[in-house]
Amino acid sequence: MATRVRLAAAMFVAFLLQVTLFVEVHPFGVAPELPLLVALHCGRAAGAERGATAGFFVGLLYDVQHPTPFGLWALTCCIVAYLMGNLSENLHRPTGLLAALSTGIASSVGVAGFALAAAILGQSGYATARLPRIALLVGLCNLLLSPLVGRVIRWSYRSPGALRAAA
Amino acid sequence: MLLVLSAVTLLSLDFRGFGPLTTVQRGLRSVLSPVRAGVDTVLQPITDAGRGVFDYGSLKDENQRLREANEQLKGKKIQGEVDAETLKRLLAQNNIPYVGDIPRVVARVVAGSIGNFDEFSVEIDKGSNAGLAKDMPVVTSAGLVGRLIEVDTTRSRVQLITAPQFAVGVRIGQEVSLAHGTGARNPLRAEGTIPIDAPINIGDPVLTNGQDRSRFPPDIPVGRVRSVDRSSGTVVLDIDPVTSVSGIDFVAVIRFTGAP
Repeated sequence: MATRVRLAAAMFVAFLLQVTLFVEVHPFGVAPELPLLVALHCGRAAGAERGATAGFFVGLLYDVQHPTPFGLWALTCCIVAYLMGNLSENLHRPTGLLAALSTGIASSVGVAGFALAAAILGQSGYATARLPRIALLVGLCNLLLSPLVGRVIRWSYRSPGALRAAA
Repeated sequence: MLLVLSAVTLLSLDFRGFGPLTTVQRGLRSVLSPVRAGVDTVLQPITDAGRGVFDYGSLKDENQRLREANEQLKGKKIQGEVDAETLKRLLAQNNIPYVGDIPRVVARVVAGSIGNFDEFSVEIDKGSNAGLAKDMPVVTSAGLVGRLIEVDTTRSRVQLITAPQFAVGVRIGQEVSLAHGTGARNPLRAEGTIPIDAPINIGDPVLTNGQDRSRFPPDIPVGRVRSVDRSSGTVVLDIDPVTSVSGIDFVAVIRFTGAP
């Protein structure tokens, strides 16, 4: 129960920062995608299935404010969290700089996937010539924020059950 | 798999315009609105510092002041150019009902675009509580800025005139056409319906035409003709919007819900 409360609080704070602070502040000309970053860390910390659930809900929260079709961020965050969780469980669980790097790369892939999905759904202004630049710079922003967000998410999952799942 | 299916179901319902989903979204946004406003206030010093670092705040403010002054001058000039008598004749010829003193609601732009892809909308601090409704036109003292696409109780989202999805019926002299946005920093474009020999020149003022159940009342300044291309056998006009959509602080929402 405490884990869920901590996780919900972490997600809500990330969401609020995304729709307040990072509406105005654009490091390198883009806004970091905090919900995506949270989803990736949930996948890494809690595994594929629990990460996907957390990703779905943080994405859904972001969908409430984001002007894209409702459910698109939920879908994106759910899938990237699941993939990150699967990679961490079955292949390699990176730490330190490698973890931040892989989170940055996964963020770029997630943003590109989101934009392409939006374009497939008929939304204009997503799959444009700016997309590679946006994806790269979001990856860079999320890479820099990754150590901090990673700590918060690991703290959120700090319970015997979650630690067993993450181990 | 269940979560993916849930997300796909939500997407599908959203595309079909499922009413309860929209109501829930609007309700959640209304609940979150005061929280966002509070967090915005608390984070303002950090936001200002961040903007100072990444956006060179002072230069931006100075640019904005100059831009606003310039826009006001441009808007006045366009309105002045359209002679009142000519306007009366045009209105009579085209059977456009003149819309007089339509009530307006002044609003402050409180947030820009969310995320990295929504660069063609801004959020204002007035909503349905102030009598606003979806599709109402949004203007500045210079001219048309956009229209409302989402209206919550205390906030609304404005689709800017430069958005690729934005379309407005326009009038250039006696010719009418449909102009649409082409993306940020690019002009509006009007094509089709204009005779190839129409006397349209670079610099001509462009106003809303208000015809055929238009979402916009007539004679709001939209911009000026930047270029006239007749090479393809039809007339294609690029139009410089009269209002710069970046850095706007205050707007007025015209409480107009469509021509009768």
